[in-house]
Amino acid sequence: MSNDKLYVRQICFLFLAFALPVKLITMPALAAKYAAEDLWISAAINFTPDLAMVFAICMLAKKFDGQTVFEIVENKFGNIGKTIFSVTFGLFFLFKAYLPLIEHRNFIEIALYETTPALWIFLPVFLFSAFMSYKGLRGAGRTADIAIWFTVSGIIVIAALSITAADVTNLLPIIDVPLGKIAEGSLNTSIWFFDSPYLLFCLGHFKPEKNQTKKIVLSYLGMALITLVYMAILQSEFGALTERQFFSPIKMGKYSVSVSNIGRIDYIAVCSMIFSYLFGCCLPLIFSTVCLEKTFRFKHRIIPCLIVNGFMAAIIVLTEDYYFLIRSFFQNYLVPVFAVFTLIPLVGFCFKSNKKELKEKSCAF
Amino acid sequence: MNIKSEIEYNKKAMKAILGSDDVIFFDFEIGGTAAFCVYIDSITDKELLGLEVIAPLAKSDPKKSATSLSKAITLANVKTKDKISDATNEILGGNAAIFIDGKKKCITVDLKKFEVRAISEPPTGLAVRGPRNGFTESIKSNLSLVRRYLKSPDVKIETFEKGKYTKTSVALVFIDGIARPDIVKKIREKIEAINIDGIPDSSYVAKLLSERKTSLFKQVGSTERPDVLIERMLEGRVGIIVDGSPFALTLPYLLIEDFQAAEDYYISQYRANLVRALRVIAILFSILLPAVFVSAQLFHLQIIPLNFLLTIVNGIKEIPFSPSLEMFFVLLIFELLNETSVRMPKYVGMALAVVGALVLGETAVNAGIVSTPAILIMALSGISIYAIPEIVETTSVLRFVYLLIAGSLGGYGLISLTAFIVLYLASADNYGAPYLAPYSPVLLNDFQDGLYMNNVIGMTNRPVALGSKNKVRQKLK
Repeated sequence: MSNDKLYVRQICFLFLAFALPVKLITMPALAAKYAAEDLWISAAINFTPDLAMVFAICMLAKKFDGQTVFEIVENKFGNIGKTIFSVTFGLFFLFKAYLPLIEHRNFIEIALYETTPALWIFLPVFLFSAFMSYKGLRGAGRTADIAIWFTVSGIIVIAALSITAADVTNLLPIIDVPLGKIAEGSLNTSIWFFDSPYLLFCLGHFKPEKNQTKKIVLSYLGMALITLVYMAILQSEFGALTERQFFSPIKMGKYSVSVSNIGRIDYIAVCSMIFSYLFGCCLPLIFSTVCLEKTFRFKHRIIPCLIVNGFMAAIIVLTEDYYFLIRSFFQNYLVPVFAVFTLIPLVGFCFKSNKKELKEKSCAF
Repeated sequence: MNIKSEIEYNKKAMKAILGSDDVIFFDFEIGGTAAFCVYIDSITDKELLGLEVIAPLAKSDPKKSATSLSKAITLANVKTKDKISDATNEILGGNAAIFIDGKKKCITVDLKKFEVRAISEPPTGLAVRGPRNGFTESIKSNLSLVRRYLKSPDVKIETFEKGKYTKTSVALVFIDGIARPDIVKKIREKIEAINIDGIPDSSYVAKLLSERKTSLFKQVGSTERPDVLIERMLEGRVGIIVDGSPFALTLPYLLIEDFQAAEDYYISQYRANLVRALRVIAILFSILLPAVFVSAQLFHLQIIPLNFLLTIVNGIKEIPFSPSLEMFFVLLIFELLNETSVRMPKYVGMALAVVGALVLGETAVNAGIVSTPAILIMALSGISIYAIPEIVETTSVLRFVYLLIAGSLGGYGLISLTAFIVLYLASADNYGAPYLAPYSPVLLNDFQDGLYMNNVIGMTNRPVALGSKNKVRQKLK
């Protein structure tokens, strides 16, 4: 397998291992604020269009077999089109990385360091994300093969510990909340979704396999189902208090009887999730780096990695005190922008495939 | 410089080059014609030289050519050389050279006789069950061990002479049809490109063959056991045997292979899995335990169960140092004891144990310099690190790095460092094989011999990670 190629399984794991933990930190509590016991429905609403787009991109992968998204765009819109595409998507991924990163910082401060200023401790994460960007998609794919064990075990342990304290009646009655509230919950949490562009930028970088569409769609569906079950358990455990359970992984397991008997074993699960979450919040920065690399020519690959991650570090340092303000800005203004970016792949269906012309071109990531 | 027909000229030339007390120049006559023999006293078999070389030559007809005369010698590997430099190299390799007046060629005879250690059980990789022979410093006996196990014409051995001064023999050993030809070619090219003064041990070759020369992590597999080398060759790896070293090298190297002890394949699968799990736990303990303990004390007291926390509090209440400094101090003592116990003469070993365990350990606790939990943690880590001695070079450094990060950044630092290492290792390839295979990328076939080990009968295919074209290892009826 060449350097820039992934297995389809690794793409599935990008969703399951990396994109999944990012959704479990603040989104469930925020959804509960609007949709109460129907929080999972508002999340399901958000998953549906993204799942449809994942399916659409899988179709595009078949149509433009072996071509990267940059090659498709360059072929249809020329070099200028490719540059505009790279710049805009580069910015999209920067914005997409912002909330998970700042939430990650807050999460580790709350979960691990109640008395220590976390910024100093948090900053090395940008060195890590620069390294991850340098290693590229192949490094991320291979790490996903390992991180999946951490994500799954973390979620299973937290769910197992909290299920003893869960009361399923907290989820009832289903759809008792007004539909407008559920829709409001969806709208206000939608910023944590829009994961299909990851797959768009994986086009041309995976070895075609039998049933690849089915595998990718099922993995996305798996991620959605795990998130929904997690949200349901959270609601079952905390009921009306769910909306206050930001950073839920650290809170869910701590009321278990086993924790009081043998100590905070839920911390092991939380650390497992933090491990995967770290990769998940750095994932958009890989794609942003690729976009920068496609826009300008750099002598060495490390330069765009340092630019993107250094810029992001500066933004986080400057804005860390304005998290709520920025989150409202994202919720109020950026949702339509994110939606447009997510829908862009549909344009691909308007064009004819030109597999033969591009067959000899090598794909470089 | 060519050999001339004047014997005195040749003798002067040889003396000029090989002027040393242990180089013997021995004059004799072949049917009245002057001749002399040159050999090195300590590495040549003089008995064979007299009986099988000089005696038949002395009775031969001196009018014959050097090539015809060489046929009178009833030994294998008899050659004629026409250059002084070639003759010199042969002599330095333990062979004897015979110069005859009037001949422009000399006769060289393979008469090497090095003192070698007998084949014995290797000190590393001991197994209760399994073969008890280990490699020695002699490449010949090591290659004979390989041939003894692998009686196949597909076993190929290519030898190289490397080292400007040491002229060390380096043998590339592989099974044709199982080892990947591109990997064999790459290793061959790398060995051919070696240009160094000397190779005192195979670890030099290992470093020269490493793809990431500055990496902390091991790049080339090594073993003292012929059965392990054979097993790895049968999986598709290439072996490298270096004269003077009892450690054979194997490539490509995967991290998992050091978790696979030789004995695992000779004992029950259930026991093998149990000890493999223990090895994993031991390595995690050895690297992480001191760091987690320090970070828990400094930043995350809530993860320590209450009763244990009380024990720690009682232990550390009079300790003047911070937990990280205290742990560094204990680690430093441990590393010092470790280093000195390896280097010091054996007869003072007992004294060292007394000084180390009693004076430094107990007195340090009584004096309130270090706490009992810290010593307990370090002892556990110190014992665990030798569960896999092959990677101690890496794990001992990692333990220091983790401890440093734990003391400064706490638990999140540990998680970040682990993520960094996992990303680094997962992205790495070693001679085309993924370093973390079979777990990254996931290779389901290779799970049969990963951290979980299948029954040997169940391992029907060779590891996919090594990319051998000959995939089937055994066919079951």
